Amino acid sequence: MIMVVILGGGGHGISLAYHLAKKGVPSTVVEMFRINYGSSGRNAGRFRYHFYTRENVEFAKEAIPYLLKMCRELPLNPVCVKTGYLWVLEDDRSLDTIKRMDGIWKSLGVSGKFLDCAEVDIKSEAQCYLAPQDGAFHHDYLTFGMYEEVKDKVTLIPGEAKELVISGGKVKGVKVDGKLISADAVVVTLGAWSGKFMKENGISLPVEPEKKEIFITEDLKYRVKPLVITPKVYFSHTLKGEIIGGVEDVRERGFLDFNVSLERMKLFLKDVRRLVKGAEGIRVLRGWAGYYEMTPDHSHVMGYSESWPEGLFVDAGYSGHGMMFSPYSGKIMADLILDNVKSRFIDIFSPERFEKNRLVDERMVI
Amino acid sequence: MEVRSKRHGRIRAPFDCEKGLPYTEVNLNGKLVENCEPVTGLKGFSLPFSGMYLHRVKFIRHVPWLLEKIAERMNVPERYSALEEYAEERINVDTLIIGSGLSGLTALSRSKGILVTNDLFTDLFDDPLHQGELVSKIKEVIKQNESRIIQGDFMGKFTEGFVVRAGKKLLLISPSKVIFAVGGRYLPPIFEGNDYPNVISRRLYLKRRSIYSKVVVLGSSDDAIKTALVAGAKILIPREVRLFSRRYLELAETKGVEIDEVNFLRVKPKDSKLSVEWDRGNQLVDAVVFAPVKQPRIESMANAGCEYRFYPNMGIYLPEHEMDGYMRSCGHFVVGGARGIWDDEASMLSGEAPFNPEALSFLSYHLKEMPLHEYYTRNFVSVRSPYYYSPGGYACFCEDVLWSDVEQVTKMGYDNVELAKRVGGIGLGECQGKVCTYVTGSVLSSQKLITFRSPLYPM
Repeated sequence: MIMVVILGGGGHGISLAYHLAKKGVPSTVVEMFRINYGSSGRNAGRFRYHFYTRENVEFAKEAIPYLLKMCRELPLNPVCVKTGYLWVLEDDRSLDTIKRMDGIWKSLGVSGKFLDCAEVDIKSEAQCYLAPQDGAFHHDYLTFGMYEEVKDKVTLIPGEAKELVISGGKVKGVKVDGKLISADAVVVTLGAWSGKFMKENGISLPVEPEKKEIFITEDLKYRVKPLVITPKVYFSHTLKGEIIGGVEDVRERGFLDFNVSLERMKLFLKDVRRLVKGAEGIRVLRGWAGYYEMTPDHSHVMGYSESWPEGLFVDAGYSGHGMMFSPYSGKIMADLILDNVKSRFIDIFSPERFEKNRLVDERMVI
Repeated sequence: MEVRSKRHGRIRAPFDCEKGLPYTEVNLNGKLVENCEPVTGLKGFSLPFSGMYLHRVKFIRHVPWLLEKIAERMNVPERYSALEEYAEERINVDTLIIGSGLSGLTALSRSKGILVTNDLFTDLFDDPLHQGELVSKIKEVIKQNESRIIQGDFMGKFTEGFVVRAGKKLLLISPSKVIFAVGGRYLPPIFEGNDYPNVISRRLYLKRRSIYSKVVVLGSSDDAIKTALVAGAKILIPREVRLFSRRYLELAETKGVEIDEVNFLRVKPKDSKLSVEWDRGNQLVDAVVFAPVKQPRIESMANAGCEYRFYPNMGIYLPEHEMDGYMRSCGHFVVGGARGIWDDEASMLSGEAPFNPEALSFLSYHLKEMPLHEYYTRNFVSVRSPYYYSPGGYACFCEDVLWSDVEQVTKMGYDNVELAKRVGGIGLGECQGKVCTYVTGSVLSSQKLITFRSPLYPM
């Protein structure tokens, strides 16, 4: 039987292990800290169909229904709820963008609607745009739910995978803290650490970490259903009562420390207090930091390149929208690795696109 | 005032009035009010359903509006009135002492630094067993150094530096040395009925002594003996868990304090009193007072990047430190209760230790008599947790997580605090794990707790 070693126990790694196990194939997951330690346990847990590019919308149209189906079946409940995404169009730039996108989204069958923000209890004079198909889920329940289902078929190896072992143009395994783990296929699902690992093994894969910060408030009676996106921040209300969100800014790439900043906390609070009824004096309970795994075209990388050693695969670089896609991507990757079934998305999101200059050009990073 | 819990609608009151602990602050029509009132009515309708139903009852997933309806009915505030903005100020300090108490104030008198505290008059001042001499000495230190004491909250580490909230100001501080004198706390043990009002910490009992006539004491520490002496009460300890020092055991014996081992414990309300039942007895009391073991307030030190470890000999978490209090992992110091010390003399010596080699040898000698000693000799031996009396009750009071829920996720293999948080939902409420993570960790012998994130208090 094929020996598959998965590097990284985040949403994508565990999803691949889940789908391999469902096909009767056990696998090994190498994880440096713990399941969902990296970006998978640090995101705000939201899903959407609304992207800038046709490619990502079409991917979402298959991936999100698949996520929702998994939500009904897993042993833990990932609490998938259709809450909608709400853009608060308070400046010309966001108004123009959404007006342009509205037509494209309509043509792709995921239309939203313009309305007064007051209609959805948001304290702004501006116009809002509601995308009702989008929603929320619980990141840890999703990954641990998948893990729980197949854990007897998954070997978790704690440690850092450093060195790919290659012989005769084929992958033979990976060294974890000096120890060789043999493999016929090695799959890199290292999220923000993917580019670093590949580079250390002499392969160029343009995935870089970009630090982000998220804050969560004390409880307020549940009232803001959608994820609210202003020109500066995004936030949403959890069913537990907290308001969770972050600041939309671009900062230098790299493995910056996980401290949070007073500066961003204040920006987040300012918009929450301004826009949510009853939250005028709400306070932050905690903040944390994590990385988006950024690619040059803000779209993920899945599959392999002809120039790589045989048996090396990647599924990473989701640029801020990875968690929602993790169930479906794991399925596509399992089909590819075990059955050589190539989804059309394997071509579109192939790592070869960077060499062949067939970029996807996604611009909606939230 | 009567407070109902968020999910189960249980009547709750603070078990200790330390700032930041569950139910010490109540939102009244949008205004935040400090709450340290005793509660008289103990009974009321509540629904202690398991949080695991969310996963187990598949029906929930097919009725999308159901969870929204439940969310709308939770006991959470309707609004928060607007607050004044804080003014930010950067201040330059070489040494920052966080926390008062004996050790912090001793360190202050030995250094040129400033001290930040949100509780200047600690339980030291409430304990009738303290000689007047010690209290007046400490009052003198406070008086002489008043200008270097800031009343405020240590909010933790941010990109901009350490943040202290004092009045309407946020002070940004990047000191070269921090001395953590944050002390320790008594946390409620695990047993059925552990969340009822009037199940309280030794600290709160000392403040309220006059209103309770009959109490029972839970705890395996010297402070449990001290409490029993003050209250004239019996002590219940979990089977085989004795963390007493020889000196206090002898004292208990001379004074005739009864110490009973317990395999089973249950507390139920009866009129305005609590009925306490254990395997070999029962009592009707006004309060159940606990002092299982003094757990250092690790969260502020961990937040500042200082390593800590589980000390299995006492079932507590200790910052990794040397005899002089130096914490190599972060370059800061720890003194007093924050390093596990509960004895007054040792506490004062630990406050001197970073400055005075002579105090260091006294301290080292002094600690030889205590169960803390094996931390320094690295002679680690596991004991049963001082928090575990019998199954039942609540693991987390803020989010109403039942102890049985923690048991369930533990059985699934998620058997450390971080995983019990991720899968079982502890450590995510209003107090951000200042209670449940330590107790759960002690019972599970978890090597680590959770990541204690900034801010350390709601901000």
